[in-house]
Amino acid sequence: MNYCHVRLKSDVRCLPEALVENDADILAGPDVISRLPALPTPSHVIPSVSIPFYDDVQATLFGKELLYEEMEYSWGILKPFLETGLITLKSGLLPYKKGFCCQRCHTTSKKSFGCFDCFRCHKKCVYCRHCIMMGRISTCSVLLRWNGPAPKYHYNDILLKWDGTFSNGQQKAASKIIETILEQADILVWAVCGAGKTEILFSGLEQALRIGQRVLITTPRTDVVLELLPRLRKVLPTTSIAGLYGDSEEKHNPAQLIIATTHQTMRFTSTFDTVIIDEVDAFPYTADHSLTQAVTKAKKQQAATIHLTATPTPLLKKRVNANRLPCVRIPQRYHGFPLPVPRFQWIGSWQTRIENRSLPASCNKWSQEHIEQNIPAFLFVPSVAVLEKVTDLLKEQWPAVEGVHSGDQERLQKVNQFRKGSIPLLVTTTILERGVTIPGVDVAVLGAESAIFTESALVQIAGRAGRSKEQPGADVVYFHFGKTNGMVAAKRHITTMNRESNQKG
Amino acid sequence: MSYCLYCGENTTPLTSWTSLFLPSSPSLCSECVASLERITGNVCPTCSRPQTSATVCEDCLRWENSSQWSGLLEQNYSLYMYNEKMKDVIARWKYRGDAVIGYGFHQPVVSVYNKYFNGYVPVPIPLSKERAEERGFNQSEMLASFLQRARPPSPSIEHALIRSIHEDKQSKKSRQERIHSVIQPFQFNKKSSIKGKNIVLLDDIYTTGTTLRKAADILKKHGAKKICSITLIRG
Repeated sequence: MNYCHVRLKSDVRCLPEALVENDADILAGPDVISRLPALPTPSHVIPSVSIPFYDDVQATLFGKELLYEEMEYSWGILKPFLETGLITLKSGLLPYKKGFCCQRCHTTSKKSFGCFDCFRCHKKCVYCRHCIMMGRISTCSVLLRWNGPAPKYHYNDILLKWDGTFSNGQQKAASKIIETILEQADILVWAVCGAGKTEILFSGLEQALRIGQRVLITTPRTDVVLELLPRLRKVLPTTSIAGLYGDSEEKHNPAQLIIATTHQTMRFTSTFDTVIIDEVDAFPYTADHSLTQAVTKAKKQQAATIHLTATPTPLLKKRVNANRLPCVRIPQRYHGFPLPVPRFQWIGSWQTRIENRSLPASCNKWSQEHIEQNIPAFLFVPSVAVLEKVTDLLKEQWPAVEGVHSGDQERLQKVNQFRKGSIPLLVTTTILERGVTIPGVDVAVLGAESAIFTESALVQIAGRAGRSKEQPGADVVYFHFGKTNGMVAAKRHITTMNRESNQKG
Repeated sequence: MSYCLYCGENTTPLTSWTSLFLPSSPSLCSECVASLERITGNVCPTCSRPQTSATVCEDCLRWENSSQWSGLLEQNYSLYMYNEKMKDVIARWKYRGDAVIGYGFHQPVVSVYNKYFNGYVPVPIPLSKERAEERGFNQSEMLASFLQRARPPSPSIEHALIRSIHEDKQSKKSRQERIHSVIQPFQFNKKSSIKGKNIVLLDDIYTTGTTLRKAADILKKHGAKKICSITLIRG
């Protein structure tokens, strides 16, 4: 399909060739969309006459940029929208320096682009492989953008159904968040693991939704989206909420509150007044530049941004230290007890031992003690390869032991079994470093000197332990073959937070 | 440095005389290759189905006993099993449209062609116009194009078939529906010439063999000599 620039009354519109009338005043084209010059996007177009399917198209497209293939409407239905400028078209890929830039995921890296003989434009066509899972976007694809008014939300009756109480730290952070939302500023909420991060958002969310703001809560992890969704539906029963993740079925729900993985935010464009990024330092958000850009693209020019984490990245800390990013710290856990401080245990060359099919003695003893005394235990390992070997070795002694990693189909079931107690000890990669709460669990890291166990990973791992009020103390041990800066920094991080919370408390 | 076409990890190919003198073509990394299961050992000589003995399998006997289908397809050679990894690869290649993944199969397909079907005329299984428009590319055509760039190159591709009827996707049908579907989706392309030639059909997957036999039927009626097929997967 080729596209043309056509003069309609006083405006120039981009239309697919099939919709262009015979006597139209064609200014450019017909040509592949990426070769046509870009047109300015009109803002706040108000339809003068009623258009069929208006509400449905608006609901699908509002606040987003979607491929034509993702729309469920034919060009014939979309024609009046295009002619009035309610919807405008733009190229999916644009030339950038010597390569291309994907207009959806903003990737520019050369290795992310592929080339093929395209049946649609009958030319060699370049496409973006980085965001291929959301549908192929190539030099001949068009992105549709909504320029009309927002759908009407019923935000007068927003109701917050939550009657919990705040700790002092939470109270302070919650009021800071409200302030930030009203001022449309930025803030970092640095709250230790188990501080009750989600609860402190509630009052801020209520405030924002009540004044008609559109709010995005985004996080790199699907697990976190799945955990947040039911909790927020319960406390905000009258709000329209949509959860977006890989297999979600709510992709076309233009809800006022969106809870999405950072990948899913790629479809949005300048629509959110408040963006809350939970676990802002988690993989892959910090590793993938295009995700940071996607979140920036999703919010309006004037918007509040709330970064939420227990372990801010060095970059965030630097911005805080330079006074460019306000920060509120919650050094104390919700239940008021200090964080368990990790201890270090030297175990020698554990890799050689595992190759020779035995576990380091102290690590094996630790496992044995926990299994015999019925204390649930996490054993973190640096890689999937190590995971398999260690799980095998433990299974030989205690067959109920299991291992999980990111590619494991039964991950959720295994975690649930662990929670119920039918798995006494769970071997895991860093995949479970966040978001899992198991009461009374003890934690060990095997090979804590590995590069994958950064300061933040180790702090998060230690943060799994002692989260319940009934059992606030716990054993956290790093089995290592040589102390690293990361391990020392993690311990210092935890003791500093404990000291700070003592002084405040 | 090159990257695996599927998982994007760095691959460091072994240095060999070929890699020194010829530009390396994009490929899959050794881990991805290892998780794709090549068909080895005893197979049905007609359809490549893996089995305990090397005799013709029951399904193929049934095909050959039917007067309508007997003798149409001489041999099908499939390269891979349809395991979980392959399902993921195919989903991304064919359905998501990540066309370049296909290049990962360049070498294996070419070597099968050279070994078993050298000199045969490649004929890709076409897509209907609607499906081609939807997908943007034809995976069978891509497999055929590899043979053109082989050394020595194959005879030029004949687009001998046209898919005029737009059916539901084969993968959405049951086995019985596929075998008993009487619709002949293909037509002969009058611009091509295949008279007296040996033909190798190319497709991504052999499931029941219905599609390939329907295609072979048309080609036979227009004078093709021997018809074989290379399919990437034995489903």
